Amino acid sequence: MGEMSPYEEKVIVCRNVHKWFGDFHALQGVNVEVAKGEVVVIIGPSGSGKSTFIRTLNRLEVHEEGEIIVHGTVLNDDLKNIETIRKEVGMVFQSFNLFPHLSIMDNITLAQIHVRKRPRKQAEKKAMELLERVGIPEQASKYPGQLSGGQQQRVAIARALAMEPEVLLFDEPTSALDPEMIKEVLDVMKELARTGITMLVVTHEMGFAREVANRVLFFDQGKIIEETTPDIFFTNPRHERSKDFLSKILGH
Amino acid sequence: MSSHTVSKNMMILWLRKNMFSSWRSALLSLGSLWLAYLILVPILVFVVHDANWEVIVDNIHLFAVGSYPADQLWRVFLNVVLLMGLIGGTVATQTTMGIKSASLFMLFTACALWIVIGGNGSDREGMNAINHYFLIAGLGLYLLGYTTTKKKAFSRAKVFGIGWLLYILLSLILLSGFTGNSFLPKVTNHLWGGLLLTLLVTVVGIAASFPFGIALALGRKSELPVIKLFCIGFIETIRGVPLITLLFMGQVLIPLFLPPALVVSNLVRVMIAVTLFAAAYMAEYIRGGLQALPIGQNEAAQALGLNRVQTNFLIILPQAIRAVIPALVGECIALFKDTSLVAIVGLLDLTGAAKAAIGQPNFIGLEAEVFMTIALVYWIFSYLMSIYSQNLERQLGVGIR
Repeated sequence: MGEMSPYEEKVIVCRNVHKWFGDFHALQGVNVEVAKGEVVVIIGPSGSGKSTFIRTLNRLEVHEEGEIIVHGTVLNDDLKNIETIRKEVGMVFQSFNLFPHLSIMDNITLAQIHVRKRPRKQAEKKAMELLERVGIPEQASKYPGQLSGGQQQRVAIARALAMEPEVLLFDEPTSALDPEMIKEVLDVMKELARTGITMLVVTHEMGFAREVANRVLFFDQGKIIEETTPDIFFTNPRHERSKDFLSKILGH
Repeated sequence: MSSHTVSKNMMILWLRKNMFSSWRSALLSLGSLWLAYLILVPILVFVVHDANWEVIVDNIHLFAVGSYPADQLWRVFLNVVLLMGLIGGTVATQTTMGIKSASLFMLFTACALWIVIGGNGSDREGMNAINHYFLIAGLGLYLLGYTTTKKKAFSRAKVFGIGWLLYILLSLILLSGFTGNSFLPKVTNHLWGGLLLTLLVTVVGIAASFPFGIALALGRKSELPVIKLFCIGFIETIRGVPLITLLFMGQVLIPLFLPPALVVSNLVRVMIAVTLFAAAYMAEYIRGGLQALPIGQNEAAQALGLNRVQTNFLIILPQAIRAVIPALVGECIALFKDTSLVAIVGLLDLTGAAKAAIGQPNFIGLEAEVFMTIALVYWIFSYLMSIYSQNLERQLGVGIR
């Protein structure tokens, strides 16, 4: 936060966000601000609250305390606000979550037609452009079950992009993929990062973090305990637990 | 070696492999054949020799349409003819249905058509020729519906969904007519009967219980406690009571709910009872489908900004329903057969007609003939539904992970 210039446009502002699952205190006062065009990578041990955190940003999880403002809209129980925010925030899931009963084309056009109210022709044109961008235009008429994991995740990215979101959230996008498919998805994400879209990425891919992140957030036990540039984080982490985590994940 | 001897050798090989591979299997095979002989031969002898089929031939009108007036029969026939066109088109939307099963379907439907139309002339002077025209028109319309739909003229299933609903309304109007109208005089529905009544109760029951079942299934998963409690209470009450009890209760209770001026006929009360009954079961099957869906589907839809109604109708229900199609069609077949219970509350459906035919003084003691015939009719229609459902499953299986 400190390094950020106060004049830049803030897309996401979180102040003192708390979340409980029963007795478990999953988020313990998270403070983050993300500027337009920033690529923020969120890392941390499993159970540290990093996935929960990005899921609170589009209300897949409800935060119980604190304030979340997305693109100027306050995230609260108001359904209208939630709808506004979800239009502006795209999400890519670990398990793709494509709609198996719809063709690839229909997967990408569905929300454009029903949420953005675009005419079908225009939505299909947009879908083809995006499929070309993620490198699989020839799969448009197939069904998700006929595609490899890497191809499915690229479709999921295209589906999120079709809504022209202000922010893209990635929840461990490569964790469910076979090793040989991770690269094709990461390449698409790197290309996206260069286009200037705001991205929040929960991942264990340290190479990706190093190469494209503007900032790294290190989560542990529901708090951000280290927040810095990737260069500093990977070469000279300040915190004991960051060092411990890095030695485990980079050590093998 | 000629192909004839080849196939003969193949058959011997097949027999040796599948029926006589060991002493034990040979013994079992011979035993089963002997049992089949014991059962089938007397049936065959009865059917072709001993049976007195006059009871069926003389009562074909009763079996087909109950007491529907003979001079108004063309309305039933026209209905069946339209139905044939609709079925032809619907079958053609089944892209996975091969020529073999499509023609089997047609053969069965033609049988059904003949039961209603073809046979009816035998007890009516002068109706024969007209009946044949209806029969030919029905088959023609079936082919027309089939070929035009195959040519992708309007191959979307949605069109046929609407078509079926319109057809049900149209056929009810056509059958009942209007009081005082000379072209379509009123035929009160206590005159409707036989297979016509059985099919009507079935089709109306299925068409009405399906949306009702969906609503109950969604309601049971609702976060609003009043709706949820109502749905659970409704489903569990209906499922805890036999259909026959519901039918009796429908006779007594439905008039109590309604204002005295509104008189509801026996048939409508029966349809309501059957619909409520089937809806409770459909709701539970659909709920099973809803629960089998991964939570990620809901989350992905929400993340894309779809609202709750859109999520349910575009994402959740299509998947939940196709997952439980076998159970839903099973329920439709069960509903079709359960309609035989309406005979107990005084309707003259196919089973009711059978009982009436047996009671006629000149056909005493012909139960076997009558019940074998209606069993065959029930079986033909059940099997039609089964073929259709198997194809539907195959077709919708596309792209399921």
